[in-house]
Amino acid sequence: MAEITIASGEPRVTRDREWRKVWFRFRQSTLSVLGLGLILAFVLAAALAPLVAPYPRHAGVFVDFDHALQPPSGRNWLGTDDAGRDIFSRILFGARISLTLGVVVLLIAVGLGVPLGLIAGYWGGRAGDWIMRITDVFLAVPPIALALAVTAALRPTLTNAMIAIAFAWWPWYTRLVYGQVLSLKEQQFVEASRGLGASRWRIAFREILPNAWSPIIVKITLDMGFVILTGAGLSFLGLGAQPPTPEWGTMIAEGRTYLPGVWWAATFPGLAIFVAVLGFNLLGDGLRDVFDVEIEQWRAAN
Amino acid sequence: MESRELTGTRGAEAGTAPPLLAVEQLAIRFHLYEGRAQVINAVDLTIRRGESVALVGETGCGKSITAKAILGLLPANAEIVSGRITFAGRDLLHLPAEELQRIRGRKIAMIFQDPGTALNPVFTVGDQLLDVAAWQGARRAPLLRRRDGALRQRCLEMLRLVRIPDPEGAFRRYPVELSGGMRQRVLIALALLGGPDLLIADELGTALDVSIQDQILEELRDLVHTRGLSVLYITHNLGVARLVSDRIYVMYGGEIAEVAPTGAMFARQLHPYSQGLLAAVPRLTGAIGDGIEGRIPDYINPPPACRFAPRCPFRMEICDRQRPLLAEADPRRWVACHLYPGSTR
Repeated sequence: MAEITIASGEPRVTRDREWRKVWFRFRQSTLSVLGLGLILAFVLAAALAPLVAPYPRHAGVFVDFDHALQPPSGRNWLGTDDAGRDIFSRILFGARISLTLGVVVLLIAVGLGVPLGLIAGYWGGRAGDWIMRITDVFLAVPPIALALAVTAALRPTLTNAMIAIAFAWWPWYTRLVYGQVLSLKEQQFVEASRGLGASRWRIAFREILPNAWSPIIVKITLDMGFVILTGAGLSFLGLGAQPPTPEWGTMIAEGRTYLPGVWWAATFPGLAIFVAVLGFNLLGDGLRDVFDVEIEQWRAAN
Repeated sequence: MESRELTGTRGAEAGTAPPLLAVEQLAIRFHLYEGRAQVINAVDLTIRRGESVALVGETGCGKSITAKAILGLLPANAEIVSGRITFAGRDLLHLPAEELQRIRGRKIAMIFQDPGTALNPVFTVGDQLLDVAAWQGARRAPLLRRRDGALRQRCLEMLRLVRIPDPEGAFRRYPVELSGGMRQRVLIALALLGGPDLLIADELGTALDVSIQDQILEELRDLVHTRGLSVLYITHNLGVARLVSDRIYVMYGGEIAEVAPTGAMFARQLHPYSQGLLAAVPRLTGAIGDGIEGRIPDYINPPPACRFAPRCPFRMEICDRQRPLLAEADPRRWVACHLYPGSTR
């Protein structure tokens, strides 16, 4: 009895140590840790916006012309906009929108792009060729231009902006996964599981996909920043979220008319975008370094 | 054809029972850029229940292709020109893909050669065992029941069977955390999990230390004997064949050169190629053997008759004119060479 407890308890220590090793490696780069910190702050801001924001009501339809265009002060840390709304509160609520946009877009892009890449890479054949040629067509057009075209064709709402960006984004995942699958499917463990009677679906999704996760996760992290940037860009052009939504891009568009005198109305939402994108980029780079080391070690071990 | 009569040591005792696996006049060619390569040419091979057979030959002689043909895992550019593969009375070459998939793992299982790469690096040993046990068992095993319970016990039982010292510990480790020998044992456990009748061991243990290889081979030999399994060992190493097999098929250039019970083969080799193969085995005493001159034949433009003729020290005029047929030279010994009268017909 005691022996079993020891035997089953010990490997948990192994896995614990594994995580500590990953964390140690990640910690080696100050920039990665800074990125993680920024992202944590961003996520916390989004989650706790209603509790933390000094003026939660300012996120929606609210007008207080007596306090319009006030510079940063003790009352309004980041100043107020042309309707007298507290910019700090609106930026906190904007984090919710940007985070939602990033998550929804990437869920769709990954959900569509990854299975298509798996099928094209593992099944191949005529279907695979079609998938990859269509992907190439999408990749030939810059995502922002494609997203602009789609939102211009649809009604300009936040939801449509998400659909448009996701529409432009999935082919990058198909490409990435396709390349991964082409090298992974030649690995012996794939043939070994065929030799044990595994079906094609099982091999594609249970044997190959789990081995392709690390580059996918790195790309998702790096893409979060770019997707948020693209979403803000669409909103800035009036093709995404509409006023009075506290979307960062919309806020810049609204504050832009008062530049340079009322510098705070456009600058602080812009800084928020900058910080979020920077955070995801630093985090993504850090994760890539950690995974690369793991892959190298695995290769060296064999 | 004469192949029906090929019997092994234990096969002879079994009398007229049909063999578990019968490969008859199998011919496979590959479509390559350079042309069509006739890689496997009229290969006959039988394995009886409980018999261990070794298929021996140089790298590139078609051993692995033969094994892959049995499992239905040939690459896309391979074409089976003619022949039959019968397993337990079923014609494997004309089976629908799903049926063949059900046979793989459950009836015929392959043990792969390179323990470093044949296990999926991102799953623990236990997860891989459970996964295979689950998909080979019932159509769908409930996820919750997989962790503990009967499936888990069966997997641990298998690890114990292949003599992994700490099954519980190995169960929770990743393949990289195990030594090469342990990983090879896990691969054997994976192959045994489905309860197959026939194991195909492709260059088993070649990637391992010689001492560990011998240990694992001996353990596997005892294991298959006690369980009455049939095994097809694919190896280039005659020492391995001697250790584990009841009967040896020597393959050269995609053809069977000689078939003999293991003991008889080592006592005396009939085919010049077998003689050369044995002479090439390094020994602790005496000089290193001469080996065999030349290289394996070009499969696109093979020698016209006997494929071994260009390298053969006993080459005769007939060897370039007529293909030698596999014929019984001694009781239970078959050879395809014009030095023996039966082959020239």
